[in-house]
Formats: sequence, C-alpha cells, structure tokens
Amino acid sequence: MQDKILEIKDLQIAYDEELAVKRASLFVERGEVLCIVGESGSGKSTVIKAITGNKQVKVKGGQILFEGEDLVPMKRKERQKLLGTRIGLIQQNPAGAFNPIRKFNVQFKETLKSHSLPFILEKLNQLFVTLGLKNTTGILKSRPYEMSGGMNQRIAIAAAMQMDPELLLCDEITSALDVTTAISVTDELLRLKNERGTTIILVTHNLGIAANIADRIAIMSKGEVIEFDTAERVLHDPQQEYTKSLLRDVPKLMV
Amino acid sequence: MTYLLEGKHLNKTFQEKAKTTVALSDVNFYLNKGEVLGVVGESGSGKSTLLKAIAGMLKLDQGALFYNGTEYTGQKPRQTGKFLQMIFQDAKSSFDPRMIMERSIMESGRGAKDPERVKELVRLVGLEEELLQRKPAALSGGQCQRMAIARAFYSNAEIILCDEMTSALDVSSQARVLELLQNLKKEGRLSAVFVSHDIALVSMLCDRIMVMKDGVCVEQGVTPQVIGNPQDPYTRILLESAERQNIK
Repeated sequence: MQDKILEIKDLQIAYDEELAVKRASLFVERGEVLCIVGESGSGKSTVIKAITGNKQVKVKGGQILFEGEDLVPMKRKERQKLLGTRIGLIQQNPAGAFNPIRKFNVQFKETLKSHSLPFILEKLNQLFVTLGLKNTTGILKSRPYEMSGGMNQRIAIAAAMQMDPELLLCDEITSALDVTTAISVTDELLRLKNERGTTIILVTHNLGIAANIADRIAIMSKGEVIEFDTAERVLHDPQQEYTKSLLRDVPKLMV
Repeated sequence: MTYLLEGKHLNKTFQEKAKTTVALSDVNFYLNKGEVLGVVGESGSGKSTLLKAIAGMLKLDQGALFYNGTEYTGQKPRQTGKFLQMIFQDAKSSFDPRMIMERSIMESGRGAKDPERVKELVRLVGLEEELLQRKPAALSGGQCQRMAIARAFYSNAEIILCDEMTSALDVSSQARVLELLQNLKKEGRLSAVFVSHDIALVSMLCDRIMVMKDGVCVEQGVTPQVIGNPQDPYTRILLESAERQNIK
C-alpha cells in the first residue's frame, strides 16, 4: 500500500497573472527521495514555493496534499505551523539563510525558540555526526562568513533537520558547489533518509545528481511535469525526447 | 621551443592577519596555439588565482609569464588585454547593465568600431543579431555567456581565459556552450585556458589537463593519460565523484 506523504494534483501556479506552472502532478512516498529535474525557468522552484506557501506565488488550481490534507485552502497561520517542524526547506544559497556575522549557536537556538523547541546539545551532536560534521562545538562557535560554501550548506541542512521535519525540501542545494562537494552533500542526504527516514524532495537541473540519489524523478519543462516515474524507469527507459536530451547533456568523462 | 603562453615557477600567497594561504606554489604550465588547457580542482585550489595571475589582475610573489616567448610579468590587464581576454562565471555582471550588448562588445575592441564584425561574431556563437539591441538583464545566462565569447573574439585576443564559465548555467545550456567551444576548437579558432571544477566537462573539451590542489599542481598531462591513468590520489578522487554522476 502506498504511503504518499506529499501529493500534488494538477497544480497551476502563477506569479502575478502569468502561469509559471501550467500542469504539475507528482507524489513522493514516505522515506523516499524525489528529484524534480528541469532547466532554468521550467517551474521546478515554483513548485517548492507553492508547497511552502511562499507569498510570491499564487496557486490558481489543483491540490497540494500533505499527509492527505490539502494545503491550498488552509489558513496562513495553520500552514506556517507546518513549516520548520514538519516541512523543512534548504535553498541554493545557504548564506542567505543565516546572518553572516552571528555565531551559529545563537542562530540555531533562535530558530528552535521561535518554534518553542528546546536546545539539546546531545541531539544536535548526533545530527552533526550523521551529516559527517566533526567538531560540533567548534562549528557552533563560528560564524557563516568564516565557512566555505559546502560547509555552510551542510550546516544549513543541520539547521533545518534539528527540528526533525518529516519532509525536507531542497532547492538546488548542490548547484553552487563543486562536483566533489556536491556528491558528499547528496551522500549526507542519503544518510538522513536511511537513518531517520526523512522524505526528501530535491530540485536540481542536473540529472547526474538525481541519478545518484533519487528513488523517483519528475522531469519538468516549460511549466509542466512531462515525465514522472521511478528513477530506474526515467534514467533507463525515458519516454520523452526532452528527458533523453537532458540525459545527453550530463557531462561524461572522456577517456 | 616557444609556446603561445607559458608560466614558470609561479608563486602567490595571501596574507590575512595571522593566516597565510598558499594560492600558487611553484606552478608551471604552457599553452600551444589552437590548444585548450584544462585546469581542475575543488573550490580554493588556486585555479582562479592562476587565471588572474596570467591576466595580470594580481601581482605574483615569484615567477615569470611569457607570451610568444616574450616576458610580460607584471603587466596590468590594460596591456595583457591585447592578447588575452577573460570570460567569467557570472557573464551577466561582466556587462554594463545600462548598455546594449552591441555597444558593450564594441567597447572591448581597440580602434574603429565595426558593427558588421560584431554581427558576424554573434552569429558565430549561435545567437540572433536582434539580441545585440538588448541589455544584459533581458538575456538568459547562457545567451550572456555566448555574448562574452563573442566579445572576447571581437577584441582580437589570441588567448581566452575561461573561469568556471559554465558553472552558473544549467546542464542543458552548459551542453550548448560546450558544443560551441568544441566547434570553435575544431575550426582552429580557439586557444584557451579552461578552468572548471568539473573534470568530466574538462575531459570533453581539453587537450591537456592540470589538476590543482591547495595551490599545487599535483598532476599534469594529456587528457587520455590523466583520465585513463591518473597518477595522483587526488585526481582519482575527482574522477570518482565525476563517475558517480555518470548515468549507468
């Protein structure tokens, strides 16, 4: 029996009046990794914005079912309560999520406080270990501007995961990183999935990254989900010409 | 033998308070005409510093640079601009946001302005002439990057330095820009140093590859040798990451 933690049905999303997403249907089962893949401007980040209820976008039609309940008609206050504690979000630029000159421990504590959650060092320590971060206290004493991009991205994952959301939304989180760092960040996401059972939706333009981590893949083009299936099927038996071209565009080692 | 471009024993350290960062440590390289040299490494490996040093954008602590056998160490970008041009990661911000592309491109040339040649070059990089009348904000990242290539050619520079020029593009736009560079190379129009963190991408374009780590060139050789028979453990790590992105 399928256990869909999130399902999107015939979703239409607009910025102002123009539709950025014309038709999107997809779902992710509990404990899975779903990758949404497409070019810039295909509408993949817009879908994430609609899930989090970002005010820039307006849902014009369709449903966003989180554990069976439609988020679209829900009151803003109710929806806000889900964010952070049940649905976590990490964005492309991790530095944008932090104040650059304040120590991480202050920022971690503030986030928890705003959700009325206690700060438990032991718990955070465990999370850091899962993410492959050594020296928890050292990191907590540092500030974002002192860290590399990859390190900040890992800390941003920790900041989102400290509230233990069931669903983690990752919007192009590897795009600004070099290949080696990007692979280690996806490894960490996989560890979260395996050890904590976190469901992950990862938006990326790189099918190569998706191949490394996804259970399911949705391909978006010009505001529509044009192909949606298990990763196995999308990667090895793509139905759409566009998916085939995306597969060809992944850089391949030439010997 | 004289090379088109050569660097010998390049050294550069950055000093910030008590912290010393070695960005280049005794780096040697050369580039022949019609050749593309790839420089790979993670963020912070010194690859961008190398390009900036070649372009005269920063002062070396030690070492010498040669263009066609003549030393040009210590020259500023104003002078090096006669024979080399740089293409940056963020193409959009490398153009004046208030100028239309045609004017931006013509500004990079020396002497009389030649709008006909600009049009010709813009067609060469696979863009429509009409786009020349637009400002950078009205172009996509990939289009801007093509415009940057056209601009580099317009200046008649013999050497192009590419600093992570496709990293900000999505995979599909990256593939199109790569195709363009591959074609220019086939036609013998391209001599370039191509810096990227993506060893797979570099292997698709470059004749020779330099692998950098913490300011040191750990391995250098022709592409089939570096990819097929890597000598340094760090090169193997880079290849492993790249292979994991290959779709089996």
